Amino acid sequence: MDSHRTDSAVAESEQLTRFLLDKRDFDLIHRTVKPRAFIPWYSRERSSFEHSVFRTETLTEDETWKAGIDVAQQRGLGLLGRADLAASQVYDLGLAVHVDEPPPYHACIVGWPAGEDGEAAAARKLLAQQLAATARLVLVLRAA
Amino acid sequence: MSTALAYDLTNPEGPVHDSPPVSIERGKLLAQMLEELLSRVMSSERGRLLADLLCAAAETASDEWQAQGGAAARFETFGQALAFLMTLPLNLPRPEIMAEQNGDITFEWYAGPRRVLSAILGPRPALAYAALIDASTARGTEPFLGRFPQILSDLLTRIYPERPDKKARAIRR
Repeated sequence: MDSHRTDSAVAESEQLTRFLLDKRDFDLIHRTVKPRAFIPWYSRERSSFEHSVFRTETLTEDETWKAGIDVAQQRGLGLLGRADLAASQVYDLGLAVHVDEPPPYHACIVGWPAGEDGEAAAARKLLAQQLAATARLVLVLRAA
Repeated sequence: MSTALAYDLTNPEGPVHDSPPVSIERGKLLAQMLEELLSRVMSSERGRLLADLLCAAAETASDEWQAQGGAAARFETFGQALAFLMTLPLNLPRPEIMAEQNGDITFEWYAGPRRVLSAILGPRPALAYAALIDASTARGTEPFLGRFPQILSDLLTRIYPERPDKKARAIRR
């Protein structure tokens, strides 16, 4: 099914989650999320930079992890953890969050500086650093 | 006995001379020397960085990367990243080297969520940088002409304030 981004904005009060599938997305020493986890990718389809997240405000822990497992399985990777942050932290940086379903609860962080020049790349990188700094790392617990 | 052609490297415009072929013994010796040289290079700090750079560039050539819409690193970008790597002061913590979607290469120093600097190299002789240090931010572009940019040194001094050695010793090549 085609994804369908709407103009419907996600409320600032909501919690957003980025699922982490790559160990380079977080730092175990500081137990923090790294900027790499929030770098937007350019969508040719939409001619803009965007970053995929899930709206997890109304989901239970189990439902949240289930959504993450689905994402990981789709990519053929293992789920390692997640980065939680408040939508308000996204809006505070001048970005926005739009509903982008299916899959259910999927959303996109939009409004990134456009362009392939160095200034735009630096601006996007700085925003990713700022988002990562406010995110909370939750690692998947594995049985010993 | 056959002979091999050899150039006088000190005089590239000069004539080509005949020279004896490499014997098996000398070939083995050369192979040993090369192996030792490579092993020494790759076990050095700069060698490890070079391996990281090669991994980042190789990732952009993978099917998975390209299936996600990622572009392969261009030869010019790899050259710029390699040149940048060669200017890195070795007294700094080792940066993480990663590829960007458009094939650019980023060097990132991460000392915590609010102590981070990223330097992005593309195909042109310039770099873009972004830093988050406590509550302050910095970003911009700089020409990269074969010397480690002063702005990055200044930002790294703030990211790693406990490192007193501002007089970074030049890296041995």
